[in-house]
Amino acid sequence: MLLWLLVVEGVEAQRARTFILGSPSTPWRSGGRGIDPKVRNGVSIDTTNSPDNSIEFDRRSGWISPLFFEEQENVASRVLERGASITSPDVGRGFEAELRGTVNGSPTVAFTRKPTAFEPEVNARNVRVILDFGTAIGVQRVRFYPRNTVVPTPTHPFQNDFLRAFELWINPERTSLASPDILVERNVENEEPIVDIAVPPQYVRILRLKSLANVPFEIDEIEVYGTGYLQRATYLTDIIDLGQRATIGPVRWVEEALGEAEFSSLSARVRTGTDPTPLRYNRVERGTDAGGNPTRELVDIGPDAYFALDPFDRGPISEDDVYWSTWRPVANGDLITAPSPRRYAQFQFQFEGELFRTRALDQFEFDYLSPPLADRLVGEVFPRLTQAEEPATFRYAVRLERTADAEGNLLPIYGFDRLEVDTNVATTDVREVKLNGEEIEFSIDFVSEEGFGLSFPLITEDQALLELTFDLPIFRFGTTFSSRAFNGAAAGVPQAVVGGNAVDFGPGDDDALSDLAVSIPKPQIGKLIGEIRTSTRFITPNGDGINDRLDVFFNVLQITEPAPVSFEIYDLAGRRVHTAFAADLGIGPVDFSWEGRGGDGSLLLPGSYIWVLRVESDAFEEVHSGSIVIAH
Amino acid sequence: MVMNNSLARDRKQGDRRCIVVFWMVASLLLSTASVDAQTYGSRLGTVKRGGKVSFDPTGPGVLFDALDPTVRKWFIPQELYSEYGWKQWEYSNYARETYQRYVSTSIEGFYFYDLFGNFLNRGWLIFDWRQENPQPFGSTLFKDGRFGSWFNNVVIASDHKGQYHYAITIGNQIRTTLTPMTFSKPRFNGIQLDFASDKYMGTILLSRISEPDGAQTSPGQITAAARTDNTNLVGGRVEVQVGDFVKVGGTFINSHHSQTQNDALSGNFFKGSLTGSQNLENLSFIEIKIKDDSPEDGVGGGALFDADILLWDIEGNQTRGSEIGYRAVIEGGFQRKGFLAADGSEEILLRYDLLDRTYSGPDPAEIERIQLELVVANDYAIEVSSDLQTDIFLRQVFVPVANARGNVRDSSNQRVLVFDYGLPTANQIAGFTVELTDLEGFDGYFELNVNNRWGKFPNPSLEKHHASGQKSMAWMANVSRVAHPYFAYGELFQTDPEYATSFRTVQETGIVDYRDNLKLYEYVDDNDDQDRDPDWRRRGFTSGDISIFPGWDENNDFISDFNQNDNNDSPNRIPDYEEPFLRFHTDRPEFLYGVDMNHNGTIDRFENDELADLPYRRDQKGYNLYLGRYLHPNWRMTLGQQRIAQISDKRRNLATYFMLNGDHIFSWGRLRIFQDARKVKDTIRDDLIQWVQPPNSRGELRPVRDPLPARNTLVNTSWLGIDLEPTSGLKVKNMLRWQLYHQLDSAKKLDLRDMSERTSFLGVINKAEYRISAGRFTLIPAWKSEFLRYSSFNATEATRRELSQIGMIIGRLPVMYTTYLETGFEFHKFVQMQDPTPPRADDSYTELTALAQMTDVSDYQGYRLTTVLGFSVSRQDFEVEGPRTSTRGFITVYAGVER
Repeated sequence: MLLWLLVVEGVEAQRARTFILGSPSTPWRSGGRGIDPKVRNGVSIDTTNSPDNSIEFDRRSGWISPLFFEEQENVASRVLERGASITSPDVGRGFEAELRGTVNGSPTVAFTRKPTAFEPEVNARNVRVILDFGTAIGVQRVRFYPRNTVVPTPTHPFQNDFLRAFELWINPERTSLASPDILVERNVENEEPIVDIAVPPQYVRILRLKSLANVPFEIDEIEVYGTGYLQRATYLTDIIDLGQRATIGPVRWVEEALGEAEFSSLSARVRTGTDPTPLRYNRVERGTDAGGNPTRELVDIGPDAYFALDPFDRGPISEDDVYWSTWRPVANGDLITAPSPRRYAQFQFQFEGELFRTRALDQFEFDYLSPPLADRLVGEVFPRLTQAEEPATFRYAVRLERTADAEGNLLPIYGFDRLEVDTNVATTDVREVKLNGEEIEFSIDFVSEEGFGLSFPLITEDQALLELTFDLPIFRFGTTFSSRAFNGAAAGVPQAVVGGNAVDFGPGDDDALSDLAVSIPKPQIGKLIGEIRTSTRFITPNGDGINDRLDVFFNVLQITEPAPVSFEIYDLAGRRVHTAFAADLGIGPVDFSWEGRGGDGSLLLPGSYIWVLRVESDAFEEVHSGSIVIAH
Repeated sequence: MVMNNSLARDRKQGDRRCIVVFWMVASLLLSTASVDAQTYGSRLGTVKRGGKVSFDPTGPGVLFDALDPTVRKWFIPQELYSEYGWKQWEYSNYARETYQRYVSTSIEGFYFYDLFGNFLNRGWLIFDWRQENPQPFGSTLFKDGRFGSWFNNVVIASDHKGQYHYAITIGNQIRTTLTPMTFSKPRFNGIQLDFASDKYMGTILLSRISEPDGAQTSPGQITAAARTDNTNLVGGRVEVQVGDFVKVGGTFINSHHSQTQNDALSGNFFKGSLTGSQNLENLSFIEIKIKDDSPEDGVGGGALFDADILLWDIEGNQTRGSEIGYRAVIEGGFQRKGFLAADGSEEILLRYDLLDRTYSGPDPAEIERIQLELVVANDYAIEVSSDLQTDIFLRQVFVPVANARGNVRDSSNQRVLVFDYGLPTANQIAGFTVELTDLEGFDGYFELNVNNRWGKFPNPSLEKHHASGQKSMAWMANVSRVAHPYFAYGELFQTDPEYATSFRTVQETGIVDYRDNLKLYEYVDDNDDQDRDPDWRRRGFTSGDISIFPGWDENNDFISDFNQNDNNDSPNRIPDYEEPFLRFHTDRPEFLYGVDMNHNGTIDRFENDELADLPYRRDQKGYNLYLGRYLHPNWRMTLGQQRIAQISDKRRNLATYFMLNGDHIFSWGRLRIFQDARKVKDTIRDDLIQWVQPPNSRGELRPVRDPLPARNTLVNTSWLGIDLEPTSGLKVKNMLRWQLYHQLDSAKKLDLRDMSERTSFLGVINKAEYRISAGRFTLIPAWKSEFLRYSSFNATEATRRELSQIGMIIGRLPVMYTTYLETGFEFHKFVQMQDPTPPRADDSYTELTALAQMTDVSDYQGYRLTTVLGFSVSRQDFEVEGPRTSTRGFITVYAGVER
């Protein structure tokens, strides 16, 4: 008991901490001052925060954005980086060094198509040099020339061996039918050793220079002058070590659209892990099975042992799918969906944009609680299948799980004293809040269309079971009562409840099916309007209080975005005489009244009318109709 | 005397008869003698061994001469022994009768019999295709070298009697069409059986499409073409004339994998069999990928609400994954309230791993069927793969399963998508047609086809595999009527996006590669230029067509009419409309006019794409209606409307159009008018691969992306041509083409698309030619003016304004009989009217070309030789770069066969 009190006191003494990246103390270049990221690059590992060197750190203090190229910057050497290439598919092997020499600034190495003693006949026509930057780069100018032209190299006096006829093609993507190459320049009578071509500023991933004449030639350098921002860029944080397992609160960042926002986007992803490396370094263990057949197994041995191995014994380096989660998208202001709490986390930001329209990212931060609220919060709802539209009572349970260390001692946690449950419509009642079967005092913090929240005494006990009951109808297949637990001492760091088997709710509660999602029978899928109830089939709007108006009630089902819903009155000739109701609605109940008046406020003439209830969804228009009689 | 005369006449007649009879007998004897001279003795079946023998397979008989009870070894006299009277033990002496060499019995072929044992003929095996089940290597297809060398790869057997005709055509390149929506190939490699009578017609098609060429080796190596796994095609069509006006037809085409180790009659033959490689191992995992069907908008992508798997074991027991706690491992997707969203480039990947430790369903070796159940919504595109669905490098390949209709973002299309997993085994199209000919004045054509695509669940421990199918449909209806002076036409159509006219064939190694398009067999080929070569690279013709210019070869010589003087022997790398002297007669392609119903900026009849030549594009539905009136026999106006929707997306091609066109010869000349005004909202992409001829090239195909120039646009196209011949010998031609795209979208929207508000093309050509003859001397002065002004759809590109003036004079003087001298001068002034000169445009220049040549036409050794010798000089004077002179001297001889 004393130990327990010490633990709890120790826990409460701590506060939620904040991880910040992009501040003066932890600049973007630092990656978060964690463990260097590990990016597979063939058989080696890159430890950069900017794979493909695609991030601009310096253009704007404290911000990152896709790499920006000044107009005087020659970007041709980027084809030597990972994922990029320079090739000439028409000359076979053996020219790799010459091709590299055309983009590395060396004034003496050139790509040559000239006869030699070993190769007296050389085909110089239709030879292509293809620069693949691996990603789209803004380009505004291309220049190429033979040796001894731009840079004097008297030992290589080949200034006359320039391309006599050529085509220059570009492509912002890989060449395909949907992305055909664009011809920038075709010159069949070139007389200039230094060819300088202005390219209308645009993205280029592939650049093809093609010789059109059979005159021997050489290319000393191909210079590609960039402009604007990279079309795509990726920033990887370091592997963030939170010290021990921690609950990660909502992530936040400040981003700015440069130019029209419609043309750019910034997306973030996260993965979490329990060890410091998200890669598996596999050693190949060879043996034989019982039948004498050779076997081959991969054993994760860690990076140091891996690189000390004989290459023969090295297996592939693979993503660690045991101790690390996969990358999960995360939105600004949301909780992460990767497993939590965990000790290690890594974030990835992907930029997409255009030459002069992109996104910039300022500070990125999140709060975290270490130790966490709980090692695991398992939630379950019951029943998980109910008829659409009908009032239903749901029982909800959250079980707190804690883990123990090697000695069997429970690891510290904060516990939780609040719960927020997401719903699609407002609940009508929340009751029977129990802890381990005993009713406890609670208070309802709020009830809205989006959900409800309630507070109760702090729960920290391992396997503690919180149960509650609430009522609401279901209007859509796949309604998920997701929830988050809070601790008053660190209200900004909630922990998501994960679906699973929290408790046995009795007959019909199959453990294997336990989850937070509630379905409706699949045959009910496909309807946008549920049952329509009208108060009467005739109205007498004379103010006597009897049948003075038509009350209409119905449910909007299924849709996830508001759709136009209208209730219109038509006369028997098919003319619309009034729109009694029109609004963009999401799922849920709708009710309104109509008093028999037209658009100008005057009573419609006595007679029979047709009402038409219409939902104009993206997929189809659902229409219901009925008749109404007006008698004065 | 009379009697004597008559007797004499009778005698003469009798003599004549005798002479006739004599010659008849003589000729008969001669002919008999000649037949004798070519007899083959007993080798073709004559008297032998004392009895009548034949080459029917009747087995050996009894030789009575061999009944003598002697111990001495008997040697049956055979072949030449009998033929030449040799005895095996007899002394051979060739002094009187010289030795005659052996002859090979196989020189004249082999003996062949049918399955009844009937002796068919003596000759050579030309073609033999057979499939024998159940046995390994049961499919053999043999084509003898003589099939190609003797018969040029096609043999035809036919017969007819009265109105009944039939033909069996076996060929490597048969032009075969059943209907345009089902089967149309310029190079069908297989067997076509046709029947026709007055009212009925029918066709059966058969082919082993995985290897239709079989093995062209010697008969002894016939097993080289034997296959256990193969893909066969069976198809056919029946047409019946009903009454005088209606023709009804039915079409069927099926291609399926066949495994010759299976019993051919087990299961549905048309659903195909799993090949050996498809059924080699048990399935380990299935992966389902959910993507955004319209990723460019970045929102409303595929939404996944729920996923489940149902498994059936071989006992028929069904297990639902969710009931045993077996769920997919899900990666990717944005978490929304109640569902995962694959918006933009995001993808949701579901993996059902049957080897996972959490899996407690039936043993993978005992699974007979797997069904996947997804609750999805919005704009989804769903693909499926497994560890058995790979390419030849064992990389997983995803194949499409379902696409959402339209571009839904509010989940209103939420549905339970249920499909069985299977590896593709067959593809089938069945349909019918109704053709009306002048029925109450109406002409019409209706075709409806149902496409079934079958797959089977692999499990090597099973002999029969569960088959599952997906269905799609395509139909079209065309109706027209002419009630002079009015006419009307309507077309309705729908082709589902999944409607498949292709099937992936087995490779020679028995592997099915789900990625390689060269293994796709197409029922309907892409052949926009309608020549003998399909345009694309596919099974049966992997080289593809590299010269495609639909509509530009009106003389059908397979040479672009814009570079008519080009050929392989003498390549010409200058298009005719830029070549001195020729450019007077050849105008630029920009001056062509026509209808552009898909609004991609290219006239429809000149379009080349890389899609099957279906009458209506896949994934589209809609209609087009027009009414018209003849204002004059040569003048008509048309008012119409088209509404086309892309089924799997929210893209549309809506247009209302008015057209006026006429071609009339007046007393003063010929007047041609084409006027097309339309209001268009087109967001459907129609990308093309068009033939272009840049300078110094013979032409090449280039992909052309549809810039969607008419998203909300008024489009006007006017073309006016006036041809005059005011006096004899003077010909004047005038041509004007004006096209305008006026965008109706807001400036902001246009700015976002970099699109100009007004894009126009104005081209005017005037030319005159006068032929003056003075005795044998002919002088032709000519003048041509070409004005072009056009702006690009792209607002960032500069407007072009150019003027070309060409003056030309050609003199021609025949000398002697077959020789003539020609000389000509051409002056070309190009004026760049835009200042500054736009990028990639020419600066102003002048060009003077002089040419003198002598031509001789002589007959020589059966050929008509045309010898041309001459000299030309050309001087170009560029405004910026200065003058440049080029010369050319030549003597050339052409051997021709035409006269």
